[in-house]
Amino acid sequence: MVRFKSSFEGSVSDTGKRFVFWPCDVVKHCSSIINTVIYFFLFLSFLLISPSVVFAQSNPLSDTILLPDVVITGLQISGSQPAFERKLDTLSLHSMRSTGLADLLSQHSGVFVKSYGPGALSTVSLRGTSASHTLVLWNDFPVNAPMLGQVDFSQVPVFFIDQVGVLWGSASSSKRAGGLGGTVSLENTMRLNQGFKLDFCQTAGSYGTFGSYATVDFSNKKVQFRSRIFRKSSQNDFEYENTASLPRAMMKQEDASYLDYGFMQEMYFSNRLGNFSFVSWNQWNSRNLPPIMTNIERGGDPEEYQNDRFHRNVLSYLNAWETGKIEVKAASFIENQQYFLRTTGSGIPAETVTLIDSKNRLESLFGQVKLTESIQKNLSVFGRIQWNRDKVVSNNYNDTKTRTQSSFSMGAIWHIMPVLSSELTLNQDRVDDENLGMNPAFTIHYTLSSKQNLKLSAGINKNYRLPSMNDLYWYPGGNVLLQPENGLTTDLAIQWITQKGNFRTETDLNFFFSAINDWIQWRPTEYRYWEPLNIARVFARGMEFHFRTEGKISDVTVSMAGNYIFTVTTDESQVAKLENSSGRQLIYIPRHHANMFLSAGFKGYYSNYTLSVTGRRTTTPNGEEMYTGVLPAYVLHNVSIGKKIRHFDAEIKVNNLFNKSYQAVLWRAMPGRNTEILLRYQL
Amino acid sequence: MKKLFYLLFAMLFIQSCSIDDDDPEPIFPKGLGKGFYVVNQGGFTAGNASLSFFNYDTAKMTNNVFYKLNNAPLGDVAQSMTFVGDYAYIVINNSGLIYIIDAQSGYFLNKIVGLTSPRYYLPIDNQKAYISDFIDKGITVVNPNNLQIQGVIQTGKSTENMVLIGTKVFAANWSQYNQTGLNNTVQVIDAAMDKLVDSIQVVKEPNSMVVDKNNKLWVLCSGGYMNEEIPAIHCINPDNLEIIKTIYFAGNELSPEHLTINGTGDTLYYLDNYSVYRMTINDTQLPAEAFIPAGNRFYFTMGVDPNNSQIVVTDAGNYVQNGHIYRFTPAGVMIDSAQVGIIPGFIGYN
Repeated sequence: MVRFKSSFEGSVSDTGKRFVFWPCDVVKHCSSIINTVIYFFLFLSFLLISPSVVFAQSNPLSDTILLPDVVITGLQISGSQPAFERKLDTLSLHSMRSTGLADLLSQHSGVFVKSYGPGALSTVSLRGTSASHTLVLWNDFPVNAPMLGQVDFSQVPVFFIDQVGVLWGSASSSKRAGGLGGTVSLENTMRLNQGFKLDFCQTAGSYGTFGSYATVDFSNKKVQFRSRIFRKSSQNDFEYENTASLPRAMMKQEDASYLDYGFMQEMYFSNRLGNFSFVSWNQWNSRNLPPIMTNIERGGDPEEYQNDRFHRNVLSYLNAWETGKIEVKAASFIENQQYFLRTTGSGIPAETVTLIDSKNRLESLFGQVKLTESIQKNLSVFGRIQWNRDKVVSNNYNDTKTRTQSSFSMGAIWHIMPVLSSELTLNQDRVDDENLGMNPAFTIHYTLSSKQNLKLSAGINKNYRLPSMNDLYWYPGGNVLLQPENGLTTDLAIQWITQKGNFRTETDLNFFFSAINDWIQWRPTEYRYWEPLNIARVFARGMEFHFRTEGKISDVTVSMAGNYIFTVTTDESQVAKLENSSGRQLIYIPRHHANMFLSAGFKGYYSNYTLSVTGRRTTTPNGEEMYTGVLPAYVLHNVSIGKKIRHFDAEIKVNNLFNKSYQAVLWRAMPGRNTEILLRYQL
Repeated sequence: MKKLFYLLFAMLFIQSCSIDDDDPEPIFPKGLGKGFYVVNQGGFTAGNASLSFFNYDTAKMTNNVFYKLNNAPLGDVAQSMTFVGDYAYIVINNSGLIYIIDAQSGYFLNKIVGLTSPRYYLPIDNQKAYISDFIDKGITVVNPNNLQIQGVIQTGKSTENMVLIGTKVFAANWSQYNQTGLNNTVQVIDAAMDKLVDSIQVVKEPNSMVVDKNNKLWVLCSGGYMNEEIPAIHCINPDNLEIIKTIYFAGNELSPEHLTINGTGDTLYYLDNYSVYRMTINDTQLPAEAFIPAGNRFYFTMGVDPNNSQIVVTDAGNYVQNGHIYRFTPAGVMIDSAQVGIIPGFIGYN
């Protein structure tokens, strides 16, 4: 359960619900941001002067050209993506700039998104695992909240992200430990020599939804400054059929309004000493929490909301020379969360009979140094140190809790033959004073046919995930004796690219098998509270199919992409066998899900179409035996049409085109057909 | 272009193939028959409470009865069930409402809404019923004819189990969640005046109450959430509100619950350490041995059929999967068992 704190004050609207006027808050918290930045610079200074960091080799040649960083996770066939990583194309990102990352991923990637409603909690899971098994990295550092271990993707605006990648298997564990299902990588990228750019976008949609997005960007040969700011709000009072209350009726969603705003500041410097960058992401989220469909007639005038505020700063340095490069990065993340619930009683005057005001403050510091060197023409090696410290102050814990992790990695990429290459990464990790042992990752790539661009890749890796701070310290129930979950994953990938006429088609087929031991589950105790235990032994296996094709039909540019994922995830532990749940698909993980994206452009006109299919899911381990235990499959269609005229761009979107009534989570209302108008000015 | 046409056709095909909600199974043509209901709580905020019905003639348990008949879920955390004539009142705690169904057929009839955290429904007369509340510090008075809330009897504490003896309603103050008032009392309400008139101090956490054949009130107290006091059973004279006798359990670590009485009002049953214990109303000591030992099960709640004295105990398992019920003869010999819904927490006899 997420508990939130926010120290900022909000005004009370006419309806008594809490909202925040954002400019005041920005000013109020400037001092805390400045403090963060100062602390952060001191921390980076420490890293820079640390004797363990080898700078002697970083003397660049004067004619060295510094290119944007590229993570190489495998031998690439011409133009293809790395075997165990897929970057979302810019067209997809562009078409979803006014949405949250959850919508982008559900329509354009193979990850499964579990959404509690528009503007509400959205989590993603990869390859049959849970949301906490998805590691989310922003510019290489995890944004998974240490308390719960997962990320709310509805709070990540696509507008703030330049590049989104999904990594799995050995590509995921080679980057950082923790992503037993995989990693979602979010990046901001430097673009020099672009001059002055201005981009403003205004959206207005159904249910009182408004969004404003602005970017100011200046760059020359050596520097880039980019500022982005956004504000999105919605009354979110959509109509839906309440099938969970008798008699069934059409109803309006209540108490679901939300307001998100934030700004991102980026500074990039490039000179003969290397590339320096500073990226600061600051965001405020405030949302009311509606009751589930069965509870809409409850008394007590419940008031329930959550506020979230975070400041994330990353400072990095990159220097490359003829045979290698060094990267030094440091980050500071501060997050305040508040969850609030109040119910009033029947007395006169009405008194508060339920009050939960849960406040948490999370502080994380990160450091990372990575050195890469080609020691032979066909062999490069790297070494990496990662360090981070989490601190949580919560009124749900007995006292302040901290945790320190460190990881030492070494690896090599060996191009054995022109058609054969392999990668090996060895990670030695520690948490506080405990040694977590060696976690290796190995991948091999073989090009079967360079003519037809056909490549085969196989990988195996060992990975682990630490218990979340809530698992360890929540009061009551937290279990300090929990062990990390550990997993072994094997992957097989086949990639091929074909070119037929104007059309280029990229196709991937992946098979995976993961075994995760000591999977943590919360269980009831005889003391009326629940306790997490290392119980489950989960096997997740399946396949992913991805294709992308693009080309031209006379003057029409056409692009099409699709994903289909088949996943079987079962708990095969002794406890599951005793409880007769062994062999059953884990809850809220569909066996099948798929999506497709189609885009066409013609003389300034453009149109995008997405289709997403979510298979049936169980909501309890005995789901198949209960009416409420199975959520039926659903298909959603979204379409948009737009026109570009000089600096202006106008677009209209229709979501849930066929007005499908559906639930992604049991008894959480979802909107029917809704529209959004978008106007954009670019200079 | 031809390919695009095929593609669009395929999309429309997918749309047409989308799976709609399952249709409910055929309803019961002759009603549910003679038997008992099992009220399955479901998970908190999961909205998966359900109703099961066991038919004595067919010896068959039917699950999801409410959904099958009414094409809607029971709600979020079903707490209890009370029968009044042909009607059954099912209290849905976290949905803040009471569903009224036809007790024989199981069909939805109506509902009482706007409750904060209702726990039990107690009919007083044709014009009035009381509803206890886990959070609100008062008992809601409702008119069963128009289902409107008439008012709230301010008790200053949350209330749980209620019984009516004569014109007095006895309400157990079981919970201290978010409360400053102590949870070691049974409050007395004048049902004619709808007014709190007295209270009886008992051991902490009075969790269940029954009335015996002599019209004496029996109260089982578990001793407190943190085992602060030694659990006890009190026998109370409802006329003068004096405690006739108190029988203490062996130690603080015990947490007895679910005091139940048979149809003739002379034998008491309760659960302690997951086992079923039985004693007569004349006993002055607790039974030394369990009447139905738990074995490797974890009995969660129980019921005794007032007509045939058969005993039904439930096992909630791991609280996220379907639970089970176990049926025993009056002598404690197991007859059969059946799977029910998630957290079977109440047995309802009409």
